[in-house]
Amino acid sequence: MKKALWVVCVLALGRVYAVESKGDSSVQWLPGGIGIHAGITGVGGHLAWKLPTKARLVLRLGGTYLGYKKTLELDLGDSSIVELRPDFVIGLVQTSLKWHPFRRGAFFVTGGVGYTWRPDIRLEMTAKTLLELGGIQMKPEEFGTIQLGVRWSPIVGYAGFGFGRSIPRRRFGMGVEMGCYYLGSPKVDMEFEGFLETTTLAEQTPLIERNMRGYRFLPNLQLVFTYSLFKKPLRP
Amino acid sequence: MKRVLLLLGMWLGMVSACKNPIDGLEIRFKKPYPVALDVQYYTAAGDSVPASTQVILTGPDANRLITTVNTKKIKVSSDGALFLSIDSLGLRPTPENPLRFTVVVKSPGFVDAILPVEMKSDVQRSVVLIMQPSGTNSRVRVSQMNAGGQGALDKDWNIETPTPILSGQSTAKALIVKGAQLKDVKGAAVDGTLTARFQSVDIAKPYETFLINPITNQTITKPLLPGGTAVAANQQLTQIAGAFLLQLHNEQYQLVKTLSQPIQVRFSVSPQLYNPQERRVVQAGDAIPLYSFDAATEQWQTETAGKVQKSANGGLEYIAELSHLSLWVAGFTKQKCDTGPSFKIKSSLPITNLQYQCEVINEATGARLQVFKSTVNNGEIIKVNGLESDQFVRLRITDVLGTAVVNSQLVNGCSGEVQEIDVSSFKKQIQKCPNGPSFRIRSPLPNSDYRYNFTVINAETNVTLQSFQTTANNNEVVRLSGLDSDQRVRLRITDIVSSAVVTSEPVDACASNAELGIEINNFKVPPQRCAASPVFRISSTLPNSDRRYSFEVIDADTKGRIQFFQTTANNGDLIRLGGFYENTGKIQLRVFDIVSSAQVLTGAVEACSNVTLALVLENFKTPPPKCSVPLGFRVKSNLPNSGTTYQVQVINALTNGVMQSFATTINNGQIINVNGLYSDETVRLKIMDNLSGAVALSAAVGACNTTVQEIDVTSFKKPVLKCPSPLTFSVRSNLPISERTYNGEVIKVSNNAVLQTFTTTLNNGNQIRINGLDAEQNVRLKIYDNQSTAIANSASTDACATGTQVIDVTSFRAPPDIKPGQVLITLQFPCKELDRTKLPTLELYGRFRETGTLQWRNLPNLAYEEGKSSFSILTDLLVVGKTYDFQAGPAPGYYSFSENAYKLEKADWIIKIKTDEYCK
Repeated sequence: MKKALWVVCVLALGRVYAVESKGDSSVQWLPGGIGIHAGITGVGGHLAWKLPTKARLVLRLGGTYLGYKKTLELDLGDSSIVELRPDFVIGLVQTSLKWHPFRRGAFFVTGGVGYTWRPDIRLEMTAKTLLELGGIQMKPEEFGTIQLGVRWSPIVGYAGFGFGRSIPRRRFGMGVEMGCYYLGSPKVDMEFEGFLETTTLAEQTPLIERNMRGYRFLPNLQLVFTYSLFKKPLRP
Repeated sequence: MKRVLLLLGMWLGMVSACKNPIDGLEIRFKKPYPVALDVQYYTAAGDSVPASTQVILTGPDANRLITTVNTKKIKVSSDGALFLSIDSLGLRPTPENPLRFTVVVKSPGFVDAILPVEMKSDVQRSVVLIMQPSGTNSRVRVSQMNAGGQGALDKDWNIETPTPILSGQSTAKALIVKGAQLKDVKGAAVDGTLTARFQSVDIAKPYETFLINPITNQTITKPLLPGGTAVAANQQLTQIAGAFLLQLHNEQYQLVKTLSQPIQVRFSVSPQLYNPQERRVVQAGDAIPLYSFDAATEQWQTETAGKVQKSANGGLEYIAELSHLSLWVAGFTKQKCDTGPSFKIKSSLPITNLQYQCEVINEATGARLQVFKSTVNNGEIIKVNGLESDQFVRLRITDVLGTAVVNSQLVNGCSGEVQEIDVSSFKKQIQKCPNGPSFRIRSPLPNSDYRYNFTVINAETNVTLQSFQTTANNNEVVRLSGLDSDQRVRLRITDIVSSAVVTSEPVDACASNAELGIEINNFKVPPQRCAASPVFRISSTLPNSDRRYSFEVIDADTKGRIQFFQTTANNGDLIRLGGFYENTGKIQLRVFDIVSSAQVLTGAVEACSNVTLALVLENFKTPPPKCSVPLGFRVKSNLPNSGTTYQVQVINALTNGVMQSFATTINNGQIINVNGLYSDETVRLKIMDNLSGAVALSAAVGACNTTVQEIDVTSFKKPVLKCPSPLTFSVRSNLPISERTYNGEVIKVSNNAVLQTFTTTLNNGNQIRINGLDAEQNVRLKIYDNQSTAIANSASTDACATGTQVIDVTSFRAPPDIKPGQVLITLQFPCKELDRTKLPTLELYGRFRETGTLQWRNLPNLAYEEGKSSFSILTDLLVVGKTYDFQAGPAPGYYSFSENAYKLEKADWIIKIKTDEYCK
């Protein structure tokens, strides 16, 4: 998968270089703009190249990161405390092609591909105190450890639309982008040590995976701030 | 813009088309596998469990081992428990195809506990294992040596226990010679780096090795005979030479079982060690029996005995050659006799049910081996069992009526011979005579009601046996009874007048048919009642009155009181005295005034004299007259009129003494009349309210006051009107007849207040009587089922209803029958019936221990019964009144739920589950 990603990136850059080399090859392979973005999938940055085509195409290469890892305590009442350790990371590098269908408008549609090195979310759960369950007690060691994880494909597809130019006509620009990552069908990982070992929960992993077939998409909504690296940027 | 909205809608639709991941998810408990082996781990002190344990399973069949829920996550719980099951992928263990594996538990600071297991059946095995501390002070020698590819040792291997084999003796030394080939239980070579575990064992201590000492009460249980499979009788160790454990394994914990050349073990032997077979201390050349215990099969084996020989230092040492590795014990034993001696009683005594103390005396030590009671009638045979092979005994019988003791001849404990024992020297039994002899009185004296002193004496010892008083008129018969048999008695009568004494002829105490004559010719005539007595005529100047005066008759000489009485003393009244005997002597009569301190004493007069004397009441005062009209008190009350009576007292206002006491109603305006008062008295009326404790007291008033007084009882509480008869309910039930009690309540209908709580049985037709209910209210009866959540409510009824009401408990569930000594544990859900399809399991596994102890014991499974709203078990393992820790869970080893320090208050323990998630 990593190789495939590199091929995509190299081909894209090669395309930039090949087209631009007809003119001033010493500077044209450099990106026309840079940008930072923040949204529900995290924060990140990207570089943008205008492709010398009539179709107003822009190539973007960038990355996004969002991480959450913290120990939480959940009080179930009666001094019964369960410790939750969610481990959630969105770490993504992606390249995308952006098309502005209207010469004067900032509306665009975009599509691309990305790679994530942690295509999963994890949750570990343990009991911190004696659990009082309706008058019956459960010791922490009997509750044991519950490890839940949902794993997707590390190669993700992306499609979206929005408003704004990656290489603004003036120095600075901003835009908004909505889209969706295609993650593939999730795989569920469950590991128990303790009470849940005695249940048939693990045998029902396929059912959970079936229920989670719809969880193949990761929505994206982000604000984008861009900066043009040239005083008179080329029209897209 | 429309395009944008359309795209936005598509986006939202796409991301919200997700399903709940746990839709359709049903979590149930796995059906657990049967437990093959459960191990409880303790530390060497036996009072705690090891922490941070690691479990390693090895051996040819280790891959067949799983947890009870079919996982491989095998671990020791925080309670030190390990549960193993056998998977269903292969053959079940049989004697022909046993499953062999080794359970190793490692814990920092402890010697590895290595338990070989050989399972020949599916029967669960329970083992307690002890983690022995490692280190320099350890009792366990851990030593290492390399073995070649064929399991052969490169050189001699000498191992020595860290501690003496016995206190005051040497350590034990083992030698495995170079070239000895080491093999496991299946005959495979054990090679690589070998580790030896060698230690001496004190068999009196339970926590000496990795397993609980298999010797209890010094007994080796059913050892196999040498070289065979036949089982010998239990052997009890009497003299111990030494015990030790030797275990060898390689890095893979492959245990050595056999060796191509025997291991030589030697240790010193005390020169005082007694050889019971030779009846002397041991000496060189003696053989000392040797036994081995295989932890894998839990089987004792009788081994070739080791020898005692002279050691290099001149002492004695024991040398044994071991063909395999086990726990070893060397020592002399004894065994219980299958048949003991019998003793035939020879006796000349009559047959009785008397129980005589019998003792079986060990001739060598004088100890009483057995003490029991038995009849000893002629010809009876007393069998003595439970003796041991090395015992020579006598039977000793002690007379229960005397001090005689007889001893049998000496006999071996295992001899089946019958010996005679003669108890003819014992005393004959003394019994109570049902009837005794009779004595007919011969007397020349006139009949009299005078009572003479009679004594019954033992004819030989003159000891007084009985003493009584009765008349002794001519031809009267005195019959004796209650005497002990086996004695002769005499009857003795004493004359009070002449001090003469007559004594009968001796006669058997039980001779009920005998009638002896006894003459009292020497007796004087006894005192006779006076034919007449003095009469006193009252001479008084006082007006007649019904007042009663106190009279006293005294002895004229001693002034002691003879009689006392009260009567009126109006002028002319005759006071007739009586009840005197002719020997009473002179008397005087005294009378006391009731108004003043004056008294009159007559002169002395013979008690039997027929005279009439005047008794002049000099200085007596006229007693006040009785009031002509009653003293009236009008009740002032704000209580409603009722028939309730109150306790009333007439109090002397001066002395506060109670003059009269009676009960009456106290309705407002009612007049309470007090009669019988005298004009000199000042009184108060006192009325007491028992309900509130209030007391009403009138003002002091002259007894003859004609004005009606007032008595204020407005401080009294309104009387609660109780139902005159109990409210009765008849039980309509289809429960089996039992003594099981149910909780019930009497509910006030108007506010649902609980008026009374009670427990009752609910057998069909039983009547429940509710006493003490207040009138003027409606009530209903409420009874709770203790097998379900059903509640029976009666119809509302007047609390004082006289008919029999009905309480219908046909909806109650029939309870299991709890016998004495049993405890019923019930997990009760809050519904009438559980939904079987919702239940995550139909069986729960539990265990318990007494709080403060470590040893867990399994409970029978808590099982769901179709149609019930509970899981329950009936067990006789628990004792009401004790305090326990409990654990329960869906599988053995997974005791997720616990309850600690629970005091079992009653045999019917109901645990109420709060969730109705599993209810229909």
